[in-house]
Amino acid sequence: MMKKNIFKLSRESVNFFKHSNVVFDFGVTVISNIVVGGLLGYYLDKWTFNNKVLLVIFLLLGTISGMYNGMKVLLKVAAKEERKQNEK
Amino acid sequence: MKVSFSRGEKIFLTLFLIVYAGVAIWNFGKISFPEGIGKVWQVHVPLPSLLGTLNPITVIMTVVIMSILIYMAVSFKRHLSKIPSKKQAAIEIILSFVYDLVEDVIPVKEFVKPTFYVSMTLFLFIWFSNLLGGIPGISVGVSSHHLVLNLFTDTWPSPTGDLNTNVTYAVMVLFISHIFAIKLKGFKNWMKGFIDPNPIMLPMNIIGELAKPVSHSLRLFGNIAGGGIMVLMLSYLAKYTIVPMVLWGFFGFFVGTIQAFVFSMLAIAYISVQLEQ
Repeated sequence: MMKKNIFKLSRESVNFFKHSNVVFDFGVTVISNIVVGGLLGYYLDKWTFNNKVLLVIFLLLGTISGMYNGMKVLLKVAAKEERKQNEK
Repeated sequence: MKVSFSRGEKIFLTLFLIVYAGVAIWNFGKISFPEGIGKVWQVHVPLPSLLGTLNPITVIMTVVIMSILIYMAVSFKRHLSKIPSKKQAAIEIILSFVYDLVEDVIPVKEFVKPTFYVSMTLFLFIWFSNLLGGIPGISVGVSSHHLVLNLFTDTWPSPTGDLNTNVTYAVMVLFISHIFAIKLKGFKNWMKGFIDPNPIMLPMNIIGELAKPVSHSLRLFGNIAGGGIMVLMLSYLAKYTIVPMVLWGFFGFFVGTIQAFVFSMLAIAYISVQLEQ
């Protein structure tokens, strides 16, 4: 009885780690995209017109690409789970 | 599980514990916080500006780990036998585990072996360097003017605690994945992948590709460097009595193994995404 409970708990905790990893992945993807967009914009702006227009544009692009790639990550996980459930 | 000690072992353990407790009590009021945390020893080399700064500790530790791995590989090759020894069985289990994972994930058969070589090499190197972060050793810090030698109050400095190492590997994985994609699909089809849904997404796709190594490398760096600094703080607060061993074990061995695994898994995932047709 006791053993079963422990097994269940560990299974749940593994699942918890898996799910939190998905959330972590999403966050990291979004933030790194925004950071890369911002950096690209900053340096392009510094080397070209130096009036902060390119910085704003690239920050926006980075945000959009962050959302796009984050959604890609989530959709991939969802498709995987669906496939698993169909197999069952 | 029942643990039994012989008489000699009991005496040794008791003496060890007494000496340990004595040193801990003697240290209690004396230990000061190690100087120069978060600073890196850098040497300037007469080379163009991007290559002009060197982190000697990282270089030395990298060479040490490389030579350990090469020695292990050579001795493994020499002592191969049909009835495996314990060491051979352990290494075979690790290798075949990663090989099965790669075989599952990579869609093209001819790229399974190259991807396995890349990810396994990364895994072994990062794993070993993370394990060093769990073993007390000698490290060099920087105070305001001079170098400070920390003898066994800190762990061995792990090369993955330096962002340069991680960025190198992450950028390498990025290049490798794209080279594999060009080899498989041809240059034209590879370029088409960047305007995948429609041409408006071109900048988004490029930013997304460039963001991959950033998240890939910072994840490992944050875990190892942050763990190291936290262990140092906590072990100073406990005056090196009992906490450090648990924490060194946790951050060095547990988190280190998981992060090495995650890093190589992500490398495989990035390569497999590029190989999808």
